[in-house]
Amino acid sequence: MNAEAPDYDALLDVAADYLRRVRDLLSSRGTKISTEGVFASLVVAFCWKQEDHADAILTLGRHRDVQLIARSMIEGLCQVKWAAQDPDTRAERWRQFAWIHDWRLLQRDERADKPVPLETEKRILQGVAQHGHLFLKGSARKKKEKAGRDPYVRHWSGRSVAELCEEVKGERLYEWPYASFSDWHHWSPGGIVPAFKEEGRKVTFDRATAHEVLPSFAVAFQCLYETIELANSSFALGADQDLEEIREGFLRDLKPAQTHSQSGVS
Amino acid sequence: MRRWGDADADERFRLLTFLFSKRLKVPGFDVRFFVYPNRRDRQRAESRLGEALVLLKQYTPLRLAYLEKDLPKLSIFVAGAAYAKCYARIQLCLLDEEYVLGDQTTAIDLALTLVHEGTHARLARAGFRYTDDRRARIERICYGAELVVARRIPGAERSVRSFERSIAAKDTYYSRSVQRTRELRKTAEAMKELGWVARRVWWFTVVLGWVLGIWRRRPPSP
Repeated sequence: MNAEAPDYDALLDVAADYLRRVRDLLSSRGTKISTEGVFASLVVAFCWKQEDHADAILTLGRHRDVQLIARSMIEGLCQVKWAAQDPDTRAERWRQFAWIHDWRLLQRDERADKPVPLETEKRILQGVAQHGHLFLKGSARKKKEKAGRDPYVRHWSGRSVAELCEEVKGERLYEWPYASFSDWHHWSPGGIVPAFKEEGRKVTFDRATAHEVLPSFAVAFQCLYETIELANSSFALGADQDLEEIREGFLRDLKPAQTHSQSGVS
Repeated sequence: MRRWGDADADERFRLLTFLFSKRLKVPGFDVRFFVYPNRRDRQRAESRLGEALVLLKQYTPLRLAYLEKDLPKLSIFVAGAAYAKCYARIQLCLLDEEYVLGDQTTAIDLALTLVHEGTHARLARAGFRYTDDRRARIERICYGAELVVARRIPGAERSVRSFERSIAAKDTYYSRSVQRTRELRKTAEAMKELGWVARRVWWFTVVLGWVLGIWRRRPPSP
């Protein structure tokens, strides 16, 4: 016999409430993180972006696009956790990737015959000459890259999302919610068809249900929570007790959804 | 890691002195003291380094793990003006003998110095080149790493203030010429202790240091 389905509307309200609490945790305490050191800058930037994403999810509410935001939050979490494994080196890598980004803009502008100030071009080329070697693709390192092709890696870490998730032991996050959110992101049938409502020959797209958006809220909570937890442990912000209370409350109050849902987040 | 054949002259010299040094009992590292220290100095170095590593294990186990991997050889020898130097390619960290044994050096100081050199080694391993125009940025990253760890260790407030000052210093503070002047002064200090003949040399080098300092600060020619 099937257990009675939980009240997803009520659970969504609870999840939204916890997400709001964790979003406001640092700002309500007036926490300041000293940005001395590039890793501190990275953590501050990632905390701020995750908070902003959480804000967007709360604003959207019962909308399928919360999946797009939650997916981005997973990527952010895996990146910051990966950076924390070797803080100074990887954060510096993140910072220096700006040269590759600017170099790509330069290439784009040159292809479009858009004039670039000589001083800017010189500065970017100098930066790439100094740091470009850090971001060369394997084929470019072996000098097998064809002339005219972009020789640099696409992402500052030089790794795919799957590899990053694996290195920070976030495989479950990648295989379950990330894969499901990616279906929506990539317009695949797996993402769109479940949103169909067929009545005879008529197909409609209904508003998302609480059941459909709840995983995004849960993932958003986890991503923001873990990012703030990392900031707290790295910079001794003194939010240990608040974080622990929020975590315990979240796990306790969201348990019905976790036990019922097969695709729950660890 | 560089082998003997690939090492440059300085690295070969460090490897040789390391080879002919007395091994100390410090867990996790191959620590050697040049050449044969007396028992008191040996025990002092062992206990200080041991305490420093305990601090690192307690407050920054991740950095300690990287240090064990990147700089497993610790050599106690004369290091010029610096307290320590990182030879990432031969996986050796040179610690200044006077600094390690000095009365004013604490286990916290030593632990933070190891964090600084470990960060240099980490950056070198990741491919960051230590060129003249990158010196200031790389040194600030290393001081930043020290600052993060110092803020975690109770009783390291003096170090925290010192690192904050170092990070805020101008780029010229980290330049090669300023570093050379510091080395010159330290050598001069050592000579001063030798006697009245050396005192003349000391005065000469101090004046030379001042002149070089004024020369560096001159306004650029139009």
